[in-house]
Amino acid sequence: MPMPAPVIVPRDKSLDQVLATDQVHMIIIGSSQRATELAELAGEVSDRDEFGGAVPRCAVQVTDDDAVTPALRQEVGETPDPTIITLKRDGTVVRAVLDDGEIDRIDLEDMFLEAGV
Amino acid sequence: MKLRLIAAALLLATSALAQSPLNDVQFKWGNGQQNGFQRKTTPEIDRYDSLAINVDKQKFLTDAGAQLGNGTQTPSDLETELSILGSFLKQVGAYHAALLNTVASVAKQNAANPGAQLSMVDAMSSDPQLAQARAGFRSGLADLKKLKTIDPQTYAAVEQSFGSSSAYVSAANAIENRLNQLSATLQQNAAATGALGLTATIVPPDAAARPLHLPNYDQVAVSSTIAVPNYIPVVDARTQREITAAEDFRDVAKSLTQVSAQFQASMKELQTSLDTLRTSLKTQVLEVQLNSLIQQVRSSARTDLGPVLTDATAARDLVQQLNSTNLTIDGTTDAQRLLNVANSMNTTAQALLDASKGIPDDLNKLADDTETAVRNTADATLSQSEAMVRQAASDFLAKQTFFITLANNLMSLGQLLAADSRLALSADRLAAAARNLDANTDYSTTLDLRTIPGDVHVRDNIVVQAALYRRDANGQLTQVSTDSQAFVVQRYNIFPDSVRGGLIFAEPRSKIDRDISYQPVPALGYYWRTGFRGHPAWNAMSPSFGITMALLDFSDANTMELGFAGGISIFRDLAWVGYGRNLQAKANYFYVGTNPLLLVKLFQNGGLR
Repeated sequence: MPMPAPVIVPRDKSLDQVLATDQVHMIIIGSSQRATELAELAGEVSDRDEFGGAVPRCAVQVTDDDAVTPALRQEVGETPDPTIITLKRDGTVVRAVLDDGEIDRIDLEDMFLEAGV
Repeated sequence: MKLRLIAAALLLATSALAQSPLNDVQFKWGNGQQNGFQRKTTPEIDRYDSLAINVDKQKFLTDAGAQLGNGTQTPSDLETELSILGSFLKQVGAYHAALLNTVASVAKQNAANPGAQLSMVDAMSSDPQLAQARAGFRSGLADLKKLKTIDPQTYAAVEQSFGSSSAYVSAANAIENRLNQLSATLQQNAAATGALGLTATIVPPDAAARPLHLPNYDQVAVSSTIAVPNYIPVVDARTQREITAAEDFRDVAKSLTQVSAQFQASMKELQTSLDTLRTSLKTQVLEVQLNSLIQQVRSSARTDLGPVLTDATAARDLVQQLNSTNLTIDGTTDAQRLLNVANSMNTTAQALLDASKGIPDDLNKLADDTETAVRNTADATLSQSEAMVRQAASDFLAKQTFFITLANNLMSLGQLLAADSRLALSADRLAAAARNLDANTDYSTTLDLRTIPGDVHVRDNIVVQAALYRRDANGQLTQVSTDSQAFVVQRYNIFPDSVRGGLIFAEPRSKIDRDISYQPVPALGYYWRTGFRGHPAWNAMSPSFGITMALLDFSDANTMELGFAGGISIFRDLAWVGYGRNLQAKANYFYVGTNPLLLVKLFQNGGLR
């Protein structure tokens, strides 16, 4: 079974369209190699249909800063490349994290769990 | 189905988690078994049973390895890793259980009310118990990050598993593999640096504790004959002790406000011996002279007398201790007086032993230092002091044999009264029984109650002690953990106790010549008891029935009056009551009684066990 890929904004959909779905979202903002790498990891970690995965998860990579919705921008401010933002199902921002190069699948799993409440 | 598979994987991995190594010791006896040491329970064990003490070797070595660590106060990486993996698995397990509960609860509600159809996703987002378990799981994940530096390989394996479709099962499998590897390492560590000690001790409520034999751990002798159940009361060493105590206490009972005349006489003799010793050694004079010397040295302008002052003070303190030592019989009750006498004897004996060891050395050193001071600067007072202390040291050496003999006699007298369980239950005995750990030896052992030498009575305690030691390069042992488990010896159905010695107070119930009320007399009790499996409270109360026999004195006309009575007793024959007949005086009597030796020992041991 192929690993799930993250949704790429604005290539695949607009961010508004993505956020309209009833899911926990992890948005990786940036187009750098590291941002792409993190988005792929987030995609892998989001592919869960058991043990906590009942709350659906979605990994999103926003490759263009302009694609960030004004509401989200107002809430999180500047987003250096790469920045990871988690949102609850209702769209509430849980965390915005700047990558220090040490973030791995375990951290992403933790962030998804945190947003799943 | 998937949730069940996850549960199985987690269970498998969690089973490899570490616990206290002494919990890997299992006790197994005829009527039960118990894992680990549980201080709160005292199981009964049949008098003719065997107690198997099984040690799960692999698990023990793993857990011992974890506890022994690297021999420092700082936890080793191995310990930290084990702790992280263990904590993570527990948190995953708790999260999994909470999820199951939430799913089951929603499914049940939906089945009961198909119209409502609660959202599983909403429930999982909002269930407070699940949220709590999720928080715990997240803290487990945070701990897991510490592995990144300690064990990058395991961390990578676990981290990778979070990218798979069955992340937690894969993570649990990776952790299980690592725990198995850790177990092997821990077992090697334990074998290299650990030792296990096991001892068994019989602790009767009314006598001193005695060490028991555990094969492969000690050389304590066992009885050459195997005990078999008997149904006739026998006279044994305890009976003799009890009847002797009852006779001694008869006088006490006659005059409850003072210690018996015989006892006082013995005490007086001992005190006289002490006084004689002091006189012959002139210790009172010596103390005065040493005090005078100390004053002279202090007031002297000389600066080289520091060692003389130190030696003289040390010698004076020891002599002062000897002079102030006295046997005391204070106390508001007889039991207290007896205990005080016992303690006083021990203290006095110890003071004498200290003095016999210390005083000659102290005095000789004082004389040497004084001689040096005299040699440096001629001083008449110091010369006189030197001669005096040399003479005193010589006197001590000449009298030392008598001195030590007297001390030892006092010590044994004191111990006779205050026999306790310190030696048999000591940490030293446990350490002496310790065996070095290795991967090939079986550490299990057995206590066969049938081969215990000497008296074994129902309601005696058997205490099994265990300790794990860290062994350094020189073979020195340091205790890392210790625990103990008590069992109580029991028989079942109807069985006899050994013949008991007691002090009864006989109240005539027929017309007799003399005016007697509750006459105290030593008595022998032939008692049978009943014991029931599964009724520990009844068995602890030990209700017994039987006959008592006493030499009474109701009449001036008879030189010998034998009384026979039927009676009952409770609390291991501590309290007696019954009714009988004085055969010669032809008079009936009622009696109440007690077992004085048991009574006093109960004071010492802190109550009924």
